[in-house]
Amino acid sequence: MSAALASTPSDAVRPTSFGLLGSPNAGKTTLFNALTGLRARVGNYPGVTVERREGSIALGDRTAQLIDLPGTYGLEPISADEAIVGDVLEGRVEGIDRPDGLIVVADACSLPRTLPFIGEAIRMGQPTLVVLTMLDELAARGGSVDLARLEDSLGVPVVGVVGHRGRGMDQLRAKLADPLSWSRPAVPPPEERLERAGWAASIAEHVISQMPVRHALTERVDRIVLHPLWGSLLFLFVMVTFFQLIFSWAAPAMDAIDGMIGQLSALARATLPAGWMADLAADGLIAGLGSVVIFLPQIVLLFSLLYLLEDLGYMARAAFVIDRVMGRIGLEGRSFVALLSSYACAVPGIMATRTIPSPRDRLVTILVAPLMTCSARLPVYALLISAFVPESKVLGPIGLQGLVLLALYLAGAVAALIVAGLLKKTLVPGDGLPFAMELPTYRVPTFSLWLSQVWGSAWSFLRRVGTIILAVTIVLWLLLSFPNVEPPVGADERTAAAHALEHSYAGRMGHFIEPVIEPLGFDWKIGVGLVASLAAREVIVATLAQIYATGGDEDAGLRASLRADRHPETGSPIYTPATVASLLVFFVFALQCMSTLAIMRRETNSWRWPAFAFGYLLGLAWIASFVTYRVVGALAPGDWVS
Amino acid sequence: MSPNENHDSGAGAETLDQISSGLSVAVVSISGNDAISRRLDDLGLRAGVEIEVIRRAPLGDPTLFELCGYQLCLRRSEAGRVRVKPLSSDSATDPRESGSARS
Repeated sequence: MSAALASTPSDAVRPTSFGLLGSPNAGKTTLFNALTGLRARVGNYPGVTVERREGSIALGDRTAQLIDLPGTYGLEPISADEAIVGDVLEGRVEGIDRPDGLIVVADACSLPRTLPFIGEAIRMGQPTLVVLTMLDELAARGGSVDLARLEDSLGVPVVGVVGHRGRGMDQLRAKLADPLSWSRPAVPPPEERLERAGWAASIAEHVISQMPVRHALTERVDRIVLHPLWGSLLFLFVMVTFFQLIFSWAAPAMDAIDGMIGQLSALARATLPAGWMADLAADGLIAGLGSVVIFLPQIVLLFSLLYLLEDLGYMARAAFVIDRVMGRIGLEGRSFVALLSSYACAVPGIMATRTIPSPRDRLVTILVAPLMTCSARLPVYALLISAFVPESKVLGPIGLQGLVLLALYLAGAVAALIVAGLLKKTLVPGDGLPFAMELPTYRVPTFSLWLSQVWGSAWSFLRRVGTIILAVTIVLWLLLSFPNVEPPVGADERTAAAHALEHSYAGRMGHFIEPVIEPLGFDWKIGVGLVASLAAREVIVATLAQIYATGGDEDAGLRASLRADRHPETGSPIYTPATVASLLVFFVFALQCMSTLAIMRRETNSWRWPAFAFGYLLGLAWIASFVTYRVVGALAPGDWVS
Repeated sequence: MSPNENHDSGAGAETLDQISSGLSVAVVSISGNDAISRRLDDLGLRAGVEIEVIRRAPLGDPTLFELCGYQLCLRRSEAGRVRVKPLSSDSATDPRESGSARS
């Protein structure tokens, strides 16, 4: 990643670089995108987990570099993530040149708050320019700031912009062409905090003729959204809609994709010469990539809703409402939003933890995100529940099958909260950072921006998850297909396939781990499935189908095969209620997803935490399965009723 | 603007977490000298600044405040660090006051 961020090879002179500063919610990201045209290079700073973004600004015949520094409210850091800002500004970070100029982005509506921050930036010594954003909102709220007076008082250039409409952008670009021409104050702003506050207050008095009143629309809407009763109901409504989207609305598209994958696979078999090439293409590549693409409708819908709520300004309200519950376990409201996103897929959920300022809170949220019941668990749950849980009704019209599914979903969330609480008490204690969150005014989301956010995230998901699944699928296919053994004499195609599987490397691995999984009620066949599913959960369904040599994965055939399976020696059923319960519980806990591990590595900037997550979740899975197996085994008989 | 009445009466050390919804007060100082006090200062909680308590979250915490033209959520523990006093009648006539509408 860092290779991509090395200084661009220059002809004679290194291009001018600017550092972009500002508080969160000031419109810094919008400005960054407007200046660099959405071609940001993303990476990491050494030693911290905060995201590093850089881009190029086209300035006529030249280009300049723009470093988007993490949003802060002041330059005196309160965490390692914030310290990186000062480090970059003073040129202390290896590989990043000290910026030649600073651009401080400030929301015009809250200028009195930001003035001391502007003072700190000017004190850093580089040519500094102030960009005042949200001027349209300031006017709408009846506020008034004299930009010329501000420029005089500060002694540095001030440019007013209305971000997405592009007003002021030309003026800004003209300024960026020559930072050395920017005016500098004769006397630097005070160093001491209290003095600086006084300095800021006197400037505010001089340049602000009218402070804005509260945003009318925001006030009216918040009366409902933050109302004890209506706000809570709205919150629940949003949650329910979330899940509806993920499950029901995505279904038609998913079915269509499923059909296309099947056709593509058949096409590959038909056109390629029979043998390992056709097998690899059909069962390996196409099926593997297909298993990623099939989640795309859900992912796109999820991102669409998340970004819509975020851009509107609702997400901060959701965090505000739920913060007390999260605070009880040592986290905060924004963790909830990230964990909620994990319900479709942990990958975007973990990416959403970027909004959490505290590095430790972010880490704990990342570590428990895999416990949230992601969509990949659904095929596994669906198979086992439809095969083994009776269709009886409980409490009137409520079906037992649906109830079990709901219980599994809730179990994930409850486990996540409990584990988060434990982690915060033991391994990752709080860093003593204060909780403070701005509630931005409600805004009509910019369609093009929303579209680019959704597209960017969906593409990033596809590329990241896609490459991993592709690699893993190939490896798995190899393990399942080799070594080639002679089928027993007179065996039909299906029996031959099952035989081949048992003697494949994967099959041998299944036998190898059998002693460890036997206490959980699993046999070697389930073992093979578990080994396969370590890469991606849903793979177990296809693997079991292959083991039992049935036609498809959701055929009645596989379910019947599972129900009919017997121990070779004792003749008792393999899938007893205890085994099924134990297997379901195993999937609630275990981290079986290479993509999640990869995104964890990316977001925590090390392999230590993904390894820890994999280990502790595997341990939890084993213990929980063990307990479940014993308890259910004691309560329920070995045979299924009905 | 009518003079504010603090239902939590008593002279001196009143903190922001004790102020009821709908009331406005002025910041006196921030107690302590650590990361939290620095952050509160960065957020605009400085001597003389007017801050209005808008509402508490449905579950009781955090609380939503308005100051310096923006809205901020703080938990009880952080708000407890902010020493406040009733708004003086001088500031009531200041034309540049944030004319926050009464809900």
